[in-house]
Amino acid sequence: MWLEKTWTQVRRSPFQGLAGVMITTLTLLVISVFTLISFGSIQILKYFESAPQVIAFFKPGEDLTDVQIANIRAQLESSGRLNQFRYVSTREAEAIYKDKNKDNPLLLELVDYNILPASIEISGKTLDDLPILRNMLTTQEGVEDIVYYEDIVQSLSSWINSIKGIGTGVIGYLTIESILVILVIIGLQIASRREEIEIMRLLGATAWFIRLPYILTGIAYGLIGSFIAWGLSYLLLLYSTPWLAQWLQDIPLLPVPVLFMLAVLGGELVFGVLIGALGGFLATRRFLKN
Amino acid sequence: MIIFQKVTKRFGDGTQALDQISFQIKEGEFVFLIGPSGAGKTTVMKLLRREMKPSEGTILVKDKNLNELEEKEVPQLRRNLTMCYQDFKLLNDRTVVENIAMNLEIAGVPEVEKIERVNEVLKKVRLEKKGNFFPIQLSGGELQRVGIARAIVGNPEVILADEPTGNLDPEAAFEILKLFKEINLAHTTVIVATHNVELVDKFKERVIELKHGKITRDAKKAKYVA
Repeated sequence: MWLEKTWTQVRRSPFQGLAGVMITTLTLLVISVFTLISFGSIQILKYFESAPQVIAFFKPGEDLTDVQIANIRAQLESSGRLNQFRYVSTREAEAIYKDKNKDNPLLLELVDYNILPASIEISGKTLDDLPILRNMLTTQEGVEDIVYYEDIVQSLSSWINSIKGIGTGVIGYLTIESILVILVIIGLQIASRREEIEIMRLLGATAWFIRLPYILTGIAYGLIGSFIAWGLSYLLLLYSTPWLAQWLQDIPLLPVPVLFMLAVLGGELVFGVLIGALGGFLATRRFLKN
Repeated sequence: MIIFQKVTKRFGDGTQALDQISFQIKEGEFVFLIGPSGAGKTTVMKLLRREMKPSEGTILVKDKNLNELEEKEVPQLRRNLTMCYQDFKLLNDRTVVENIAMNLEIAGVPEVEKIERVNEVLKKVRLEKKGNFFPIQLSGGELQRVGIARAIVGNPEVILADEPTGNLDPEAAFEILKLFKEINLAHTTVIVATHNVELVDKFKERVIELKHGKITRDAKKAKYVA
């Protein structure tokens, strides 16, 4: 009965309904996009954080002895800040080089392990550990160059925080706007059905019997908006996947797991229902005084 | 069943609609409430359905003091004391059946039972062929019969009618009052407020006359025989 009543309510005012659905779709689409961006950013950050953050290169063609490697490792570990440690010999460097350039025979001919340096790749427990670990590596004998990723990770981290901040602000603004638009739309519907409401009261309808169809109408707007927004964001993601894959290169982000997208849908449905229910509830509180 | 004890109603602007009136109506009684416009008939009806509260005095319906009735109990009271209006109060975008069924929807009656009961009352008010008509397609007498059908479909204990014949020609008005009498014969208490004294005289029922908010006559006449 309630589904039928809600459907009648939505059908009676198609343009108001369209406005309600469109505004919730916009809000939830923005939420979808920011959720996907946040998810992607966090994955990218994790990728960079798990990658070696400091690489110390030694003289080309010269490998370290096991004792030298063990000494350096022991020194770094004594700081309590070391997370990962890996020694890459000149032979391993050659293999990596060859694998990366396997499609370019000319480059393969020009390079062998004699001109490639051995290296030590490390990562810290936190970003704050990196300057200390870098200083410890700099003082090691035979170190010729140090590559340091702290700046990349830090700027990426601050980008993500900015995106989250802006996203939260925009989502907050649009959420309030959606609730207010639904409130006004349902308020208009209540005003146009004033006679019916009055008759229902005279016939002995309870306050909730009168209110519920309007709240359910708000929820219906939220639900429809959620589905449309999720569908649009999924299409947008699929459409931009080739371009994103090219841009992300080795970062293992795509394809986005279906389960994750279903979780996004679930979240959006809950959020859509909350927006619609709140808009509807506030409208009935405001316009249906006993 | 219904007891008014020294009931006074004053409005915010100082108008006194009722002045210390007292009367009792027994279960299954048929009562005409008569008097000129502004005598207080509608106020009595509204007080009975808790559309307003008295300024002084007590109103009891089945031993329940309406002054002490909680807000959440009011819908149940209104479902038990239903009302027919002079302007019918029907929804023009709903059919006769839908208008009548609205009362049952509110009471939470299941769909199957709803259809049965609506068909039953349509027969009682002799509108079984007009169930799918919209109010705009009906005459004044038919509209009032739809209003009556809506009022009785929930099997209330009391039916109140406020000037139910006000918009009808004499013939249709008489038919409507006959219908109320038929409903009354099935042990439903009926209270009809009207200023049409000529019509009331044809029925020989109990008459409570109000003037300027006071009861000026409360008399039982010989029974009307259809």
